[in-house]
Amino acid sequence: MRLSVPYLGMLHKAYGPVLRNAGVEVILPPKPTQKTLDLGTKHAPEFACLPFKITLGSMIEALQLGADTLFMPGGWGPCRFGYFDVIQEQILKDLGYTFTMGSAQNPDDLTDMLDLMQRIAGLRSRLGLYKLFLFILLRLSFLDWVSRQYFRHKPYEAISGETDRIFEKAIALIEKSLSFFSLFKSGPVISRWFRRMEKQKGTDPIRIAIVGELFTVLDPLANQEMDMRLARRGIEVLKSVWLSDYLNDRFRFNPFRRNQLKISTRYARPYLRVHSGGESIESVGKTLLFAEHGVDGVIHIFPFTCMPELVAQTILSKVQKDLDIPILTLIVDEQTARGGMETRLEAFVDLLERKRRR
Amino acid sequence: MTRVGIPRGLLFYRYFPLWKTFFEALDVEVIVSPPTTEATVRQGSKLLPGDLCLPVKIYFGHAESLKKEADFLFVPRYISIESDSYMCPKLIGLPDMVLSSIDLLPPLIDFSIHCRAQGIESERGFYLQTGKIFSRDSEKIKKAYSLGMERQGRFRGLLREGFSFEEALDFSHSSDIRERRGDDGRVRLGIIGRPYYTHEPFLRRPIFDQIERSGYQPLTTEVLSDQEIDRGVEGLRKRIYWSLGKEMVGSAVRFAQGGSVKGIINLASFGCGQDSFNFEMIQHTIKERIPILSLTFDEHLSMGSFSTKIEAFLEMIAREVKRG
Repeated sequence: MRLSVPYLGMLHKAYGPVLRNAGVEVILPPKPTQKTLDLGTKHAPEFACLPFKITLGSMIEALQLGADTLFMPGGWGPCRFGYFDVIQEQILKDLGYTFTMGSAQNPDDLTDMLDLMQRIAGLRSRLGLYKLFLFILLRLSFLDWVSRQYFRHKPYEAISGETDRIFEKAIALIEKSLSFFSLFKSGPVISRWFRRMEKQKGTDPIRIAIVGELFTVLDPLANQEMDMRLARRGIEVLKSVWLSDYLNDRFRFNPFRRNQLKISTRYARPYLRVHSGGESIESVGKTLLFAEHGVDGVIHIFPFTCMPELVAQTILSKVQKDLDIPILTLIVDEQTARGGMETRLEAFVDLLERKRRR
Repeated sequence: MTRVGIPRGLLFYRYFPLWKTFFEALDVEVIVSPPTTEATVRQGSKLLPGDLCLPVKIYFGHAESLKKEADFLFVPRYISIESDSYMCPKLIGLPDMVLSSIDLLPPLIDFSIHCRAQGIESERGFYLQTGKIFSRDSEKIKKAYSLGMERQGRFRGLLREGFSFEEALDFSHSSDIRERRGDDGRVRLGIIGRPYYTHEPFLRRPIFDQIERSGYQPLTTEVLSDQEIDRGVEGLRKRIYWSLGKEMVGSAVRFAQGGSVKGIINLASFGCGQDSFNFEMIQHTIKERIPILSLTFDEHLSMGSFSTKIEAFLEMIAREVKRG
């Protein structure tokens, strides 16, 4: 059994080494490129969303590398994500690939998720599996934490490129930590690295919050590394969703971290009272939360034809008026050109800088 | 008398008889916005971001035109109409979207219908809660609800018999039994789509007219019973958890299996997320040899381009029928 999981953010760094260590044969999908997207677009339905197309392309690349089991959690809800596994399986089987699609009855349920892991990873012991799953999630939350540290410290760096070096080093350290003990020990070490970094005095960077659909917020191909590009220009970047938070809201593996979905729901209440699927309520709620914390502007990014985020977009246009906070809406698909995105970001940052000076 | 405004759009085309009967039994006047025109579409498009689908834009055009006359605007939040299923995200967020995009609104009646939840948010609970706004007499409210359900049942029955939306609306006033619109020997076509496509005169008329003029009989998804639709989707690897999507896929499959329907036309919105998957399922599931045409609507639509497509499609069906 050769297992592969479509590429998403730093997920592969969390599960790859751990599963290999447990004796599972893992095929890591290559980092998505334009070619991945072209492959996905070619075989996907016309109005399928960008996340569908990129994950489909990522699956094809993994199958070409010899994977025979794929992971796509499934589920159900107003968003289309729950049906990805079925349509992708149909498309790939029609293309002539033989493989097993691993999907869960209800991916929000820990038992179902463990059943799925047991099936696709071929592991016996239930307790061992539970520990493994927990460990992967914890590693993921450490990786996300390192990213957050990066975005927090980058605008203040005194020696150009130092934050990036620490970031790389920190990610490598977490990747190497294959026991709970070494993982927890790496935390303070990394935090010291960031603290001891040489910082500029008296900088007050522009702060931009990125909100929107999970995949486009996280995936470097979908958002064209917008977050990194903003950070490199000396802007502090905050994000509404992180994969580890998303999973923590469901599995509560880190009981000390607050339920982000609940926070978003509370903040969104004056504008959006019911979760209308996808990350719509996070987009609205976190925009209001970040606005309260005084960010300069918000970027709302989501895939073309994403229905939940269209609801959020409609509501955010009212929020923008009420709170007088600039919101840039970016709707991305396979035709989103790099140059176009760059220009819009540039104009947006200019606007925020001018607003600041006034 | 208190006036409740009902925008003529979206689930109006499914639940209007129930809504109207319910409110009128509570001595509330129901006002409905006039039929959709180009101006409605323009009005709605102005209020909303460009990527939203045409039926939502039409709905907002209607809501805008009603807001001055009505004392209350009826914008129910349909989360689910059966257990473990969902409606479209825009129907779930509809009241919030209306509140964000339209100024100077009368109070909304925007309780939720969520069939997973028992009690207050189930369908019955929804009507009891709504009734409390207008009456303190809980018996009267229950009576109004059961009257509404009765009429809704007759209305659905008439649609199943093959009557059009307007006819069914008319005839459902009385419980007289109407003659079944029998098989008149015309070749039948299945028209698959959400009720706000297949019954919205502004969108359907040119298409249905052309089909009937050419001597075909159009059938909508409502001619099939719920059981029939469930049979259509029972072979799928995973159940379709969008109620309206399930109807579309189930009826397309049953039309194809039945043999008497010779072609299927799918009506969908430009950029509709759920329908892109539903149509993929239709194409994948139907194993019979049956022509399928998909028409995609947006606010820049020109019916002319549809008419050429439909003409070619009908010619193809005529050839197939002749060949046997």
